[in-house]
Amino acid sequence: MLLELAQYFAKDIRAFNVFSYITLRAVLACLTALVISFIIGPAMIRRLTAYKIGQSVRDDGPQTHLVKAGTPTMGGALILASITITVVLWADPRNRFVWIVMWVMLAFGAIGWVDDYRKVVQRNAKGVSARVKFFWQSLIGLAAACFIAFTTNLPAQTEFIVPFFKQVAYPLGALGFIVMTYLVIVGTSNAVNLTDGLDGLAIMPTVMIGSALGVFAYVAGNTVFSKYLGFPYIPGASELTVICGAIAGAGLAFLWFNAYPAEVFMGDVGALALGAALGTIAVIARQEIVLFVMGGVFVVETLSVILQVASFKLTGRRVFRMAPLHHHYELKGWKENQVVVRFWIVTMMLVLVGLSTLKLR
Amino acid sequence: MWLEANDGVVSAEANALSALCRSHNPPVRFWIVTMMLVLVGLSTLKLR
Repeated sequence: MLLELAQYFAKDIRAFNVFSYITLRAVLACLTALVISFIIGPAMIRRLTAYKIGQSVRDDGPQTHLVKAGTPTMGGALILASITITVVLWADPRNRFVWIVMWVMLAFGAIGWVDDYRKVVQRNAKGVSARVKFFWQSLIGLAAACFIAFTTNLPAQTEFIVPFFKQVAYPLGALGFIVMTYLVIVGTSNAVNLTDGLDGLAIMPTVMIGSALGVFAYVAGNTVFSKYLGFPYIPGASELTVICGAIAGAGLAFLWFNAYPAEVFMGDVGALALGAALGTIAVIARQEIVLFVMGGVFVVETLSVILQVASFKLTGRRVFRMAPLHHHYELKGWKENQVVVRFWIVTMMLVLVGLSTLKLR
Repeated sequence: MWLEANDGVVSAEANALSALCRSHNPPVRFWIVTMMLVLVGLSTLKLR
């Protein structure tokens, strides 16, 4: 919206041309999302507290978590509202990639919202059943995958890019691309949701990975940089940098309220939506493997659950003291803050490894 | 609030402040403020 306004004014005042630059709009989107969240955050937390939309805590979890019972949840709505307003303000509405990422994010947010609402407002402990939730996630993931697959106009947009190897790119074809996209979107969404178990644990990696994906999206959509770094050129992908800026800003502001001891939790509404958004951006920028590397914490948390369940069902023995992995470390004696900050440090290292693939190819 | 400590005994005020700091965990919020300032600094790359 503001881009079109700036372009209109730029006809008379050339200084407004500065807003055409994606990098500047990404930074401004980040700051805008921060400010919006800071303004509406306290009021939203008060409202959630007043409505008694408080988290229930698993009774088989670490004993130290019992004090968290009653902390307002569904704070992810704050993140989504902040990102949406910011994207409407700063992104180019003529870009189809912006629409697809926003649509996927809000649709996954809606699934999370219904689940959270049933759990904490209607006091239905089960919420939406796993099967129903997975059905809707699959439907949205497949719809998004089909939309991207059938609106691409360059073969490079559906190639599978392997990091560290400039010449290796496998053409996936429409069907392969749809399957891959579906798995990445639904997988990332659920992985972030599983990681969201300690104060600030999910949001900071999301901010870091979102920022890094913004760099990849910018490179992919820039003719000069994509050619120089040997990336496939994807026209329009650069605009996703603005969304990544908004995710980073809204996430950081949310962390302000979510830092230990948390005043609010993001709930499924935030975790599912942010994970799906990261997955969609990675797919459009053709960086699925890099997302897998940078999101190593999400991947390991998910694997820990899979291993724990498989091992218990097959052998009757547990691999970890408790799954997901963060609880295992808590039971080993690490303080909650130690687990969280150490997982952030690991993510930071993995994001650096991911960013190094920009040049190391 | 000012703090006083005599003969290695930390005053009640110091304990209270320490507990307050621990319960509100200011470091993360200071990090966020720093990150905002870094962003403002980065925006000067283009805004000139």
